Amino acid sequence: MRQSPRHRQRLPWPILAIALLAVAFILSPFIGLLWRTPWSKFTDIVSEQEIRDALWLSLKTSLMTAIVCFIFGVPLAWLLARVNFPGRRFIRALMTLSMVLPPVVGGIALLYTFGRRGLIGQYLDSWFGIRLPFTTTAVVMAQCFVAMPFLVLSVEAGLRQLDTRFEDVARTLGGSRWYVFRRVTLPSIKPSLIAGLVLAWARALGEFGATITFAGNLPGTTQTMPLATYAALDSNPESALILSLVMVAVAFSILIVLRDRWLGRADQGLPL
Amino acid sequence: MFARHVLVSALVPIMLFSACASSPESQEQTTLEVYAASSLAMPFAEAGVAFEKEHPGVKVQFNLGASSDLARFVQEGAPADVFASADIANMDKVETQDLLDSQSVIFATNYLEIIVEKGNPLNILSLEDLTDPDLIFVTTSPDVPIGKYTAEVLKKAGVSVTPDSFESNVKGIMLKVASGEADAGIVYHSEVVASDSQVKGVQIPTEFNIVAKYPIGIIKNSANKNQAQEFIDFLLSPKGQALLTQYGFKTP
Amino acid sequence: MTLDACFALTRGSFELDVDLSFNEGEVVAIMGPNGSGKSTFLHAIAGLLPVTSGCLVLDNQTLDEATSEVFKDPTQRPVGIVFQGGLLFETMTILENIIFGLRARKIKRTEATVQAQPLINQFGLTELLQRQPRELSGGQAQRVAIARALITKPKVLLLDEPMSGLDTATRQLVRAEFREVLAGFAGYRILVTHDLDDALSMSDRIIELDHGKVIWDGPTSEYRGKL
Repeated sequence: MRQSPRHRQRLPWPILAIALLAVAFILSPFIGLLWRTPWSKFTDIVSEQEIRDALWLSLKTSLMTAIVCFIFGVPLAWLLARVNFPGRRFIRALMTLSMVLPPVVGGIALLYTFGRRGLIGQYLDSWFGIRLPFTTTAVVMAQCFVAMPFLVLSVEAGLRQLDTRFEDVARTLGGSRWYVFRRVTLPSIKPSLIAGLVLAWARALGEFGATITFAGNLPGTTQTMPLATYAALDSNPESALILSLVMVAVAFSILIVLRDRWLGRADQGLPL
Repeated sequence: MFARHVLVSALVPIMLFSACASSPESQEQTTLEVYAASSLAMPFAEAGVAFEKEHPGVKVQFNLGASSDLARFVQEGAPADVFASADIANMDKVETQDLLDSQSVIFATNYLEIIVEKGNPLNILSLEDLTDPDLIFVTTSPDVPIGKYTAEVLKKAGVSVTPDSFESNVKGIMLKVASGEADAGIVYHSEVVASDSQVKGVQIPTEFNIVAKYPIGIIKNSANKNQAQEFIDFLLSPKGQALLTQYGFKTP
Repeated sequence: MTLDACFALTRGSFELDVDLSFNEGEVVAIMGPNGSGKSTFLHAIAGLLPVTSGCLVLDNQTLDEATSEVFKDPTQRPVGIVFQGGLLFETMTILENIIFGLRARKIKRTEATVQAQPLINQFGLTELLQRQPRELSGGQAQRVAIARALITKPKVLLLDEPMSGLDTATRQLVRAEFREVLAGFAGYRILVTHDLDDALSMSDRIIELDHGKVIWDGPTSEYRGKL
């Protein structure tokens, strides 16, 4: 493609300078982390039971969260995008609220709703003997609470951009609603769906405030990587460093893998 | 809509300006930054008010948290004037790094007590009763003073308890038990006093109990060493000590 | 046997009010400016929009009746539509597009491909089968769209602005093809267009809509005379 004359102009340096500052700001803490990491002790620390527990727990719960967010989030996104029901604006505002809420507040809300004496929790306890706090289930719930809005809003945006006439055509060809959704709608929103899933998963992986408040902090059951890192900060700063690095590496590598495979063209105008 | 935007845009610089304006000390106001263990929340709040009355021109600001967190903040150069810890170990962290102006002094002591839900529905009467695997017992990590003290007490009694969660500080334990989420925990006696009967305390026999010693010290880099010393003197005075005992602490 | 469309359909502030009858022997062109209700009419026949009052009956079977709340959704109506621009499913191959209607009826892939052969041959689509819709020209896409619509053997064939987006040369070619297709289709044929030439060259009967009302309905030859 021939370069238009505009491209040959020099880049406006004030914008470049500011952008470079922004990059430096985001990049430097990672460099700081790498600089302080006790590399010689890396393998020893990583093989410690508590760290392996935390890593496994984090991966397990965040993947579970991604799945739950998908199962519940996509129908909700569809509803928000396609059906003009009373209270639609309210639900959308609720999703946004959940996203900007400090996670600890979310945790407190969850505790007083699903805790043993909570609004709903008390019936879960007395009728079914289900107790949620201090369980791994609670970890997934806390993660879902903070992560689901990311998926819902991303998928909703994708659905809105979709031309509904494709679904009309599919219906006239004899496709049931479910068939049309599965074979026409979902494939068409694949980019925003994947983006939403990755955002939700990443948010779940990094979840701290809601988890520690609602689920608690117990190695092996509820102590995810962020919690383990915080706990290690006082007693064992080297472990904290290594844990931080491991989290960065895990997140980074999965984002790289996903980017190549699924997100394909960068020109689709999505956040990733 | 537009008016709202204007209001918000105007508020932000105003807030930023006042935030900046309040940090440097004016000639009339000195702010004393006191980093204190969470268990000192209530007595220190009252002490702060009383101290400010006696020392107009000084405002006392508290930063409460787990002593281990606070020690770390001081080590990382936080602008504290005074540090009051719930155990000697965390004060040592600061003292050995030569961050204190002079030697710390013990200004109060505390002892441990089991807490359960109001009414004690599960009828927990001793440390032994905590070993029940179905019981939801919470504590803090061993770096936080209460966590360490709890481990000591349980060891003395020869009792093995598996916690269901390691909270961030003693207030976390209080919250979980008071709200009914956890069945039992071990906290300071002062917490039971301060809880205003939202939880019930179960005594731990003296032979198993420990004495928690609370040291307090002035930070070397403090710009308000005189006022800091006055605050410590106040705590050690009969008035200060009476305040502390009122909240369940004991004299050193 | 007839297709009777005697209904009113309100969409917001717009009202389409018609009383029309179609028979299988004629190709009908519905004309009118934008907003006159042509697309709304097609959507109503296809079952994508419910009527507000009145009814829609095909070969004595009620497709939509407002008062008794009888409504057959698109999957239950033997209607095929070719939309403007083809609207081929972009995430599927041409073959998958064509056999979509059969697959939706749970017919297996291999079986469906076999059933699709006559249409594939008729429209000369054999080389295009494994391609993606975005690789096709406008004319090719329209052909695929017709094949896709015809595969379910509908009784009613609707064409929504079939020539839109095509350049003049292609239009001529595609027009000829469409005439052939329409001639060979045994059922009700309705095409919606705002292009006079399309209407004149492809239809036997012209209905003109304006602001949701029928302002002219008669043979194409008469319409030509009117101009």
